[in-house]
Amino acid sequence: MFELFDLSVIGIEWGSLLMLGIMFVLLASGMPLAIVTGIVALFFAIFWIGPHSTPLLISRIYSFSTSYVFVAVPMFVLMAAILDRSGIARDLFNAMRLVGGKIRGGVAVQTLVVAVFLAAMSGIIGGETVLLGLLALPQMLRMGYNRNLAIGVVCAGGALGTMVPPSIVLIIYGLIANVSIGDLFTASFVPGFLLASFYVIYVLVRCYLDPSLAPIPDKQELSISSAEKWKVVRSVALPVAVAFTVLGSIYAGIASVTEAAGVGVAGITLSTWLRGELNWELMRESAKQTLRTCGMIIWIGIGATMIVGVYNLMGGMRFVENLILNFGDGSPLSILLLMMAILFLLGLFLDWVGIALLTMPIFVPIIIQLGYDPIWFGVVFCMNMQISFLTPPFGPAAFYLKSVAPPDITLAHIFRAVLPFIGLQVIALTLLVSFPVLALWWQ
Amino acid sequence: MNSPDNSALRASDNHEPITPLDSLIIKFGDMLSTVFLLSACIIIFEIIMRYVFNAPTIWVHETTTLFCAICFIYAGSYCLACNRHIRIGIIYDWVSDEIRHYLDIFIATLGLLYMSVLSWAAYGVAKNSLFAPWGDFRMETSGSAWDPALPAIVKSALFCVVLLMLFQYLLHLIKLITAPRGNKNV
Repeated sequence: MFELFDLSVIGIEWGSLLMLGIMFVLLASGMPLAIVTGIVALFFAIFWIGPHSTPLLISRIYSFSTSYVFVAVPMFVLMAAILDRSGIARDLFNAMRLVGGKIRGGVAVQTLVVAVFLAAMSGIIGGETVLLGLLALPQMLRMGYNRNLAIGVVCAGGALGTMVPPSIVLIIYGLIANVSIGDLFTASFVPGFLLASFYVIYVLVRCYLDPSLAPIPDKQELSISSAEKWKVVRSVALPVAVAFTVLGSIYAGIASVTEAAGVGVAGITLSTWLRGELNWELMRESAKQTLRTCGMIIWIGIGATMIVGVYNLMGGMRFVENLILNFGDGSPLSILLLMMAILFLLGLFLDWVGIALLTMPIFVPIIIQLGYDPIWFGVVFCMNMQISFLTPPFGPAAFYLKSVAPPDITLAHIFRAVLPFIGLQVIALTLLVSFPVLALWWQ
Repeated sequence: MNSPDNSALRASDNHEPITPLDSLIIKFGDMLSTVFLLSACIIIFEIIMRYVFNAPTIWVHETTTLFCAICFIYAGSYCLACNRHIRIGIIYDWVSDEIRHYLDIFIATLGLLYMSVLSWAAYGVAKNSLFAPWGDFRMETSGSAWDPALPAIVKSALFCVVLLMLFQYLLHLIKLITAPRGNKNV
């Protein structure tokens, strides 16, 4: 092989800084994350380790893209895409009116309950926030709900998609950390519902303290004939049953995650067909969206898997491990807090896929070394990402909502409205860290 | 997406293909995406065979893995064609059209560089998966009971897609340099 100048003389400390610096500059230029990670990885592979290392990177890409569990990702995305395009969410929302009814803040609570149901049927946040933004937000505004409350509920509820299983964040984490995805789903169940119930309690308490926030609709709007009731219930019964089947078959260990996802696709398709909404166009559009989403995830993954591989060969893992393990007083808790601070900072700028793929290969071994449970840490990570979905300047949930919200609602309004919900997320995260049993009670 | 179209709001949200090659890639990708539907059907088939007929197949796992792997890899080119790769747009959207033009050239140049090196590396790996060291054609197989040529196909596909993306960036770059400034996205 030909000789190139050897960058490794500058040592791993400067090397790590250089790597971070280049990544930061390239990202700031607006270059896609997938290209940034890849080009930095190749740069260091060639100039630090030598050109002979590149085939190794290609085989990392190969093994990354051909793992069977990963097939679950397009299946869950497909399921969510079909769900988004059918009228199931609308009917679900209408069905919940029967429950919400005359409680003060009823529509906000109803929105949150629908959000949890939708979250249990899909594992991504984009479509769900858009759906709630189209369905629930106009209705709450029309009824005179406090605008900030309405926006916050829609954003926070929409983001629940990745906290309540099945969640793509957890699938990716399971792949990186090499732990059972079924276990991750089981573990995230209680924390996910805990977070959702925090939202509900918050809404109820605020409406109780200040009734002007949520006017109660007049009688006329609430009266629904029993025939209509029956129709609404029937139209959502099957999709909800599908969600329970998917989760149930994973929890019961009957089906692998990939198979359960396949069953989910079939179930949602069947429901759409029974509702008379199924057509070839809908399926094709859903498939296209799946291809787009997968392209984003996989190519960030390809770049990240290369950069992690190169950094490992450079000896960077040991360096970061020492750095983190010697942080503060070296106690497991302070190290955990440091990691969460890093996740929070990255969450301000990066997408969760990038964060998971770049940091988890480094963090998970340390977490295990500290004696923590990697499954519990997966749920902690997922909760951290919940916060990153809402925090400015890049809370994706806010951007999704902005794309469908009335034009007079600006991003600044949205970010102000989600603040209390970020507070609730922090409380839930604190509880999860203080009482790991919330995630691990079933073990 | 079923959301209302407001893509004109930010420059980083422009999802229109830039070159004819991009349009072609999107058309083919739209067709290829139906493979996901096929994969779902195959998964269901396996479940029915195993639980209803008690006759599990040996080919389903690797077939769906292969289908999805090819789609995953191709999706990179697809997302490049319709600008769906995730990027941080604060500075990119904030600067003037002229500076953005230079940023685009910068990004396309580095993208070209990335794909050149990657295609060179992928070429070697693909060649090894298709030819034995002594030069005979033999496809690398997965070594399972069914033993399909999955590694050879996926590695070759990776090389082809990377090469395709190289051409995409090359055409972007040519277009950016030759196009009159200001209306590059027409």
